[in-house]
Amino acid sequence: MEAKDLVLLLMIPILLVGILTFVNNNSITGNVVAEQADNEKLGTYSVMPSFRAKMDYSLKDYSDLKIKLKTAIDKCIDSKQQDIKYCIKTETNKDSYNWNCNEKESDVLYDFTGKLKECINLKNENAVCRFSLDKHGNLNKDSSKNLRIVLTNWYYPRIKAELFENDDILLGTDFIEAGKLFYTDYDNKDKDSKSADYITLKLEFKDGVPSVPQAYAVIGFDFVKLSRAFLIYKSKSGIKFIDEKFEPSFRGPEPANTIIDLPRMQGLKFCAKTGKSVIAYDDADGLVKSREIVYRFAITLPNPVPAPVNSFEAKDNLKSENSALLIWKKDPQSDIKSYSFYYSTNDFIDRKMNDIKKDSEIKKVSVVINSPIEIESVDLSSCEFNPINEPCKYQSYNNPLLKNKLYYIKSENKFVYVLFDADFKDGTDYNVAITAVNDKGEEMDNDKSAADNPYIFEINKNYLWFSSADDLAPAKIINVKKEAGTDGKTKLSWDFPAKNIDGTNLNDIKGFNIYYRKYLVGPFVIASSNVDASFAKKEIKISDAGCSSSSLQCEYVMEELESGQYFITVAAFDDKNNEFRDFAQLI
Amino acid sequence: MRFKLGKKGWLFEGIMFFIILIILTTAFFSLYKKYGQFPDGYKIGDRQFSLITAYQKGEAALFYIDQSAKYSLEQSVYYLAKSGGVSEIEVSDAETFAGHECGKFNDAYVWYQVMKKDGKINTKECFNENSAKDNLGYFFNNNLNEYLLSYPRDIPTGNYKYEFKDNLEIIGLATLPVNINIFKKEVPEDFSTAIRDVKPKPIDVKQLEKDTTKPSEGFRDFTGTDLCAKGSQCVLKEEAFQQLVKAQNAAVKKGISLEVYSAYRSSEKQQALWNGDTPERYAQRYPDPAVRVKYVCNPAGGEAKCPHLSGDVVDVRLKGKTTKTMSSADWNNLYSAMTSADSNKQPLWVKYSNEPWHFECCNTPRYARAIQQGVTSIV
Repeated sequence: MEAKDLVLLLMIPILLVGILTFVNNNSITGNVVAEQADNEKLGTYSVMPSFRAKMDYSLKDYSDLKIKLKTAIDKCIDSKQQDIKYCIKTETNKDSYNWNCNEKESDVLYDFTGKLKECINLKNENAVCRFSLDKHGNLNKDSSKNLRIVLTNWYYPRIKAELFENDDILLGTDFIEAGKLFYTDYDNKDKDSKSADYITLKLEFKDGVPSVPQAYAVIGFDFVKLSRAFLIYKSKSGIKFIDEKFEPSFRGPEPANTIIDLPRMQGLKFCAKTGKSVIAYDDADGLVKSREIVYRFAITLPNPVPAPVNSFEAKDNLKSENSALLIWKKDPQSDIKSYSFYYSTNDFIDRKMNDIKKDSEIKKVSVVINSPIEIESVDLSSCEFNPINEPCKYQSYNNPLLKNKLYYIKSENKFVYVLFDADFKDGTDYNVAITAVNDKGEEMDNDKSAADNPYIFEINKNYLWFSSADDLAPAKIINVKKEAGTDGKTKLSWDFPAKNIDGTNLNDIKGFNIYYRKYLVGPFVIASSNVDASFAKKEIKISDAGCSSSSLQCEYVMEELESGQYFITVAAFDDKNNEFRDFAQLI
Repeated sequence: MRFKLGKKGWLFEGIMFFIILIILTTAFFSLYKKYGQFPDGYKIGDRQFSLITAYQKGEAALFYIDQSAKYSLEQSVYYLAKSGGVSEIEVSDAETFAGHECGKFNDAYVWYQVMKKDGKINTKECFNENSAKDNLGYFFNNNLNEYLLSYPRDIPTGNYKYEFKDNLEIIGLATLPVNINIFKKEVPEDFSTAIRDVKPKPIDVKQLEKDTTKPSEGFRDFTGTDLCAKGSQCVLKEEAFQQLVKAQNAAVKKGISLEVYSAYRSSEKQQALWNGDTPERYAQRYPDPAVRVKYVCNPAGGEAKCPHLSGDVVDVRLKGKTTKTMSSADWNNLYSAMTSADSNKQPLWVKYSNEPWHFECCNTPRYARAIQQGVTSIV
């Protein structure tokens, strides 16, 4: 054998080894199983489809963001700011966070479903949830958009909520664990549950505020109009949409009808970016392209205490004593259950609420706002006694404003509360403050040591100085009689007035004024009973009249009177010289 | 080196040429004789070609899966961030909604709940950043499934156990293989829409017999047939399978066609679900078994608690629809076809009242109760 033959022979094993190596490295990973039966199929080639995929990204972003968020929350809790939402929002907008989210139309849907879920999750049974949608300043400025929220029965027990523009689903679908869709008449709310295929709510925006002008329950081809669907009756069997026109029926005495205003929970949504991008698809534009990764997450917060009142004013309650009219604008905040008034002759504008509450010299009055007396309009600058011995009637309203009652003036969207306190001293300067209180009894803290705390007293917004005037005269004097004494002098007698002119007890009588004029007969004399400048006046003290609340017969000898007939009237006057001067009588 | 052929060489080569020619000619005629006339147009090498084609199809599928995984990873990273690192299971194994503990605020998952109690403010943590990896796996699996369902051939879905490595690598370990049939003669495939039409057609029983296999005694595997949704693994007990065939025939008469997307589930698969070895990660989401059982069936309860273990249960929909796109009318038609009466005037299947897609037959306790009560829908 020559060398060349040897080389050729050696090539054979080298070639075989090469083939084996090639086959192994390119891994024919499958295996073939032959088919035993004699048919078209020879067998099956099986391959395990395992894989490995890589990209340049780290899940550490989540822990980083979480730490930043927790730091912001803790900082705001530690600072004891009452408006924690504002604080966290400010903190998370600092530095390079840029966690703001752009508003989207689907936010309206999530606002709605969020409140609906909160209603469903309430522990209360047989209650009515009432809520309105949040304002979205930048949304839907094009009013021609035809937006609808459609609720449909989905997998039991879920309801699917979707936002439609015309017949297209806008981005936004949410699921609510609510059983089935029901609607009902209010009167049969506990017995009746009419099942709906779907409920559709038409949306309208005005100045960024969404409202629902029309809502329908749809069953097959039938449409049942619900004028507004934001009244939801929560019973043991689930939720039922109720026509708004039944709202007055809810206002029965509690606990028959409990109305719960939502939301009770607040929150903040964040859209954080860390500057990383991926190639991805998004339904928003239907494209696959390079997109920045946006981390969307949220926190929920306890409902903040109601915001401070900023339109507080006080007026004297006309023709009354020891009372004032406290006036402020009705606040749209749904969680306000009552208002508290604090008043004292001492200044407390810079004191914390906790201190104010402990101070016995600062009086507090709480006014629940669930059923104010509604009036169209009232003129608070003038009132009349008609008839006398009844409270003074305010103009336009033609009724008195009763003590310790709350009124709602529709035309001005204002509340008026008639603050009465027997210890309230007319003519004395009082510090008066107002706070809004939620159903948990929480109100502003007036902590001026906390930076940027908006929950504080401010003069002429929710804190003012006020003094009421006593302009209430004693009642009309009756049973005025004149008799000639044995000594030839004329004696007047009358009943001691126990009441004021408005029928309230008279406590501040000081004396009497006796007005008199001789009755003259002649062709040029007008016999007038009007007490005018032609009448002479005699002022006497109570002690001069010899009467009091326990000795009701008053008498006074009028040396000034001669024999003959006189026009005479007696008027009682009080500490502030208020008197009611009636027509004189001829005696 | 130069080779020169001498006279002897020419002679040797000439003889060798004729010998080889004779051998090949003899071999051709021998083979031709052995296989007759190569009926049905077979040619030499057809089978080898089929084998190689099957391998090529397998490689194409693997390449597709690799690319799908790459795209799915980026997509799922994007989706995960959009949902704040949280995932919810819309329809869990127990057919319930496995939601985020603290819910959502304005469509964003809540990471912290700040609460006030007795005047004090507390914070409750709702998101564990370590769960982001598991949730990424869930998103990834859903995304990958969508890709796999778009592949012209049948690739099993929900077929992976995932492992993650930092920055960021995902390894998908398949549990089932991709099976490619090797036919004697490779038939050109047509993936045009006409072939994939969902028009109802009567069942070809002979073809179905060929297309289905019996993996173990009493069971029938009809994965890959028209009755089984693409990407799904469909196995039923023989009796249940025959009931399904009858229901499909009833459906065709109504102008619809059925599609099973979940049937028999092995106890190993159920155990994997319970143990958190699937992308849903039930055990990680709900470490407390008392809570977990609300979302996933505990295989320890056996067929009574987990009816899918029986092989007499199907989750079914109309062909061409998804559970999301099924209308009320579709559900009614499905119900009507599935509960058609058999020759004994008994319903073929009965519906679980709370789930319009879930039907049972044959030997399940629910079916027995329904028959006893004379109803076709029962809780």
